[in-house]
Amino acid sequence: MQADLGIDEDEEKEPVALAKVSARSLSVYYGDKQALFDVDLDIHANQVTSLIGPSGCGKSTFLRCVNRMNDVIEGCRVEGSIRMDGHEIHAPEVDVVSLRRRVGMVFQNPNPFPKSIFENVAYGPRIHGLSRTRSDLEELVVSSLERAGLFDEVKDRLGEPGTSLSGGQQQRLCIARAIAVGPEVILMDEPCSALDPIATARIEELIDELRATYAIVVVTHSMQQAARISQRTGFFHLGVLVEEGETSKIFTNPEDARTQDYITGRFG
Amino acid sequence: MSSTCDDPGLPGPGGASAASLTVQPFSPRRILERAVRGLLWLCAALAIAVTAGIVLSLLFEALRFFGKVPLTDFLFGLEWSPQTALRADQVGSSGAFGAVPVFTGTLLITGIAMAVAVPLGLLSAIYLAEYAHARVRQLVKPILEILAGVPTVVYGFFAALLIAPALRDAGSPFGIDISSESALAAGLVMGVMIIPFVSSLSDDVIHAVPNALREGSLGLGATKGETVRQVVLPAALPGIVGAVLLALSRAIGETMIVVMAAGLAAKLTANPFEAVTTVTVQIVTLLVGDQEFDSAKTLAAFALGLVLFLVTLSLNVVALHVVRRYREQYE
Amino acid sequence: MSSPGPAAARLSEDARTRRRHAADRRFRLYGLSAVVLALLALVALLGSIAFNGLSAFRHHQLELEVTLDRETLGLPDGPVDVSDLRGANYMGVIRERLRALHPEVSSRKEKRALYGLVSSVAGFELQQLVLADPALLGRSVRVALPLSDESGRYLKGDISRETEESRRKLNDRQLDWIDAWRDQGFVQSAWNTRFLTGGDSREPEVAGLGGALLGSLWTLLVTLALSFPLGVAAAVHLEEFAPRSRVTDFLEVNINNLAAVPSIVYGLLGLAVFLNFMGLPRSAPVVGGLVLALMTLPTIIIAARAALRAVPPSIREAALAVGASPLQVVVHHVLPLALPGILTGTIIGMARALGETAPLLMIGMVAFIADPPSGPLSPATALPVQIYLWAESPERAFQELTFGAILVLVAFLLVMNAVAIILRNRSEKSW
Repeated sequence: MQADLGIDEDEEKEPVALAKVSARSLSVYYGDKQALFDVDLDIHANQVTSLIGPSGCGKSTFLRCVNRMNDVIEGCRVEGSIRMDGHEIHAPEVDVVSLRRRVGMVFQNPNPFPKSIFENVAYGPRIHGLSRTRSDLEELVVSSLERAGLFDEVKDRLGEPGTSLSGGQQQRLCIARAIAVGPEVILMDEPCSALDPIATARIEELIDELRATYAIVVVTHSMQQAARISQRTGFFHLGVLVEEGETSKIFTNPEDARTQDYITGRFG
Repeated sequence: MSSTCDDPGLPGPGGASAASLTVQPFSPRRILERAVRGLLWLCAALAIAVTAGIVLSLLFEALRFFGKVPLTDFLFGLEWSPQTALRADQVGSSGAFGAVPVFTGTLLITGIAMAVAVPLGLLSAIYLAEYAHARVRQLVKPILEILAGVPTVVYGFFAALLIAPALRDAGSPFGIDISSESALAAGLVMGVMIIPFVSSLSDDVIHAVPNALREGSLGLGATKGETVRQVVLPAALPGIVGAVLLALSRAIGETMIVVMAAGLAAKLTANPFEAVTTVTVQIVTLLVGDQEFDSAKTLAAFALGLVLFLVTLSLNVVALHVVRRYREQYE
Repeated sequence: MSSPGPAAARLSEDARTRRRHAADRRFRLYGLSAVVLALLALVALLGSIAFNGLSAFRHHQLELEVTLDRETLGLPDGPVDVSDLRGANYMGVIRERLRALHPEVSSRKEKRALYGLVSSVAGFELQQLVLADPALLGRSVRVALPLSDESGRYLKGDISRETEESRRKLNDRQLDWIDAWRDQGFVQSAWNTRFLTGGDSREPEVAGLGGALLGSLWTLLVTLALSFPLGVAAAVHLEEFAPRSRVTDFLEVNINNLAAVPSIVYGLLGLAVFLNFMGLPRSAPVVGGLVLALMTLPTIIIAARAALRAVPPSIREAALAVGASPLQVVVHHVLPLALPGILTGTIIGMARALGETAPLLMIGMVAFIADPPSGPLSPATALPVQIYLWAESPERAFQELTFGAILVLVAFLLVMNAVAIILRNRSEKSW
């Protein structure tokens, strides 16, 4: 489990702060099949890190390791280390429920609960006991919806079911839901793949705004999206992190031939 | 391919004339086809005939009953003693046909059965669908369904022979007087029988709740139990309600358990330790044995049957509707 | 946002999450307990059936050498006809043999106690022997005689000597006699073949399931002969030919609702239509079969439609493309492929019909009938109804028979369901 730790500052070309999350020698197996090979990757606060690569390359698998969502899947085994603020998340004293409160997740397809808009956002604070009073809770819901850029659209119908919203609104509701529990990292698994271009643009703007507060990881299929929204990019291929670095560098001057091929559209 | 065409047993290409494309309207084959399809249609229509037969036969006999006993007396009367109707020479020979105590008895036993089956069935379904290993679920689900496959006469025998005396003995040290035909014994056993009606269908609907909802909740840091209670169950609720309604309809119509383990005397009580009677018990007692077919006593059974049919039918219609709406939502 | 602090503390449980995890574990435990409780109920049910029912298949007989003395039988010397042989006093022969075994018994009361240990219908065994071979008259034969129900219960250990004498039907003296017979080797333990083949009787020691089994067989044959063709035909119409219309939708809703109508309502229908309106005979398997066929029909239609739907459309298209008529497509191609699924549904429907009691009570298949039915029109009872009748009988010995009959019924149901499951698994493998 505990692989080589610590962050080698020399390897980092850019002088950035201590990584929020750092994965080292991370390998994931589904039964006999290895899905991720020895991945080293840092995620920094106040930055958007995008993960790109062809389907089935392991980028979503990596994402699900960060909040240990892979625990849910039967037969899934994770080796290596992921540290958050320097603390190993696989350590026995780490509670997965507390971890997931710190690491929020937004899924590929908007998945609002079959509850009202208000209750969707209030769900997380409620289970974690974040608000003492009803008015605290209402305040938290409103501010979360505001930060997700949804409040103005739904303020008059907070009691309506979350599923009555449009796809893009649903996805922003899911982002508001994730924000409401006060995470430090937000993981987004192809958050725009089910949305139309206008809704996608709204989410992309939102992601850029949220960067001021959170460390954000976005898995995306679209290289244009990665270029637009992220500061750093990692390219996965066949379960291997081929290349990782500043987005501008990855897209203009990749070091690896496979990255070059992918971004120029030769495969994927 | 070419070798097949050369085969002398098969017509070669172009061998058939254009005339063979049309078929005589009265060719034997056409007539046969039409006749068979008509027959098939008749068989399908038989289902409607059966329903009509049930409705008409119940309605016809029930109307004859209501010719002798006013509908309001039947539906709102508080005294049920049809046996007196046999003694034609006596005062009050018309018997008392107030079915309210029979209905309350049915409700009491059904209520006890549901109080057993709903928690046990629902919790089992939750455990099997959400917590158990897939292989355990595949194994245990059909095993639980055996409970619904055991003939009800067997349950009735157990209720009367083992459960009722055991309850009576268990009650006496506490000074509780439990009748040996108590509603409790019949209800408990019936509850066990209908566990699979609740658990199997609930398991199906819980299983059909999209995984995205579970992941959304777990991703927010909810525990498995919180996810199940606050996200999965509300999402599956319509389907679960459907399952419970079907189980309820089954419990109301159940006959042998109550015939063997419940009482005959209609008593207006909500005490589960007392003996009560049910609609189905009364139908059986009124109709089994020698009977004159014109007496109010015999016809009363059909009036009860009509009520039973209407109640279970409405429950089924609502339940099937709810379940279908639910399926459409997620499929 | 989050409060600052060492990362480790923020990632590990606090008091609140500990409580939440405890609640989660409790919830899981409730679920597990519910499953375990339901399984325990099943195990207790099936276990006690097996435990109590098996002993019904063995019984004890009194094997004695008796002399078929004409005088004791009350027969004249010289030729005798069949009616004489039928009416002869066979019990007298048996009683004489018993007196010979216990010469010390003298008072009327004691004699009656002694005779009571043997079944009151034991003479019937001798009668059968003599009717089969009148030459036995005057000779000695070894016969196995049925013991009375209470003697049988004592030999099987259901009655204990420890029980206070006044609280059991056999007194100490009678138990001594039985012990003596056992010690002298007169008591034989044997398979109770009569239990499976014989007709019903008021005497538990000779009551058998044969009549009920035959009644169930005739009933189910009628049920199968009606519901299978009708159900498959209706399913073929609905699935292959019927246009989607309001009528079809109504039919579909109708069939689904019929499947959930309480079985006793079908009994009422049978009573009103088949007995009172059409005047069919009461207690006859043909009426039982009719009623159960109507009850089973929706099950078979629903199963057959599912099986037909599971046949890939490519098969139909392939058959149509070679010029088969729609009917030929169904008969030659679709039905054979759907058959395992249809049979599975049919067997499950038949199993339900076999276990059904309530509608049969309505149409009078609940009468005491000693002779096995000779056909679908003769009065009969059915296996579950026999269980009901025995369960309601006051004699304690019927309890064992009830368990035994339940065991037979459950065994039939298990076999039918096992066949259905095997068929289903096979048919699932084909595509």
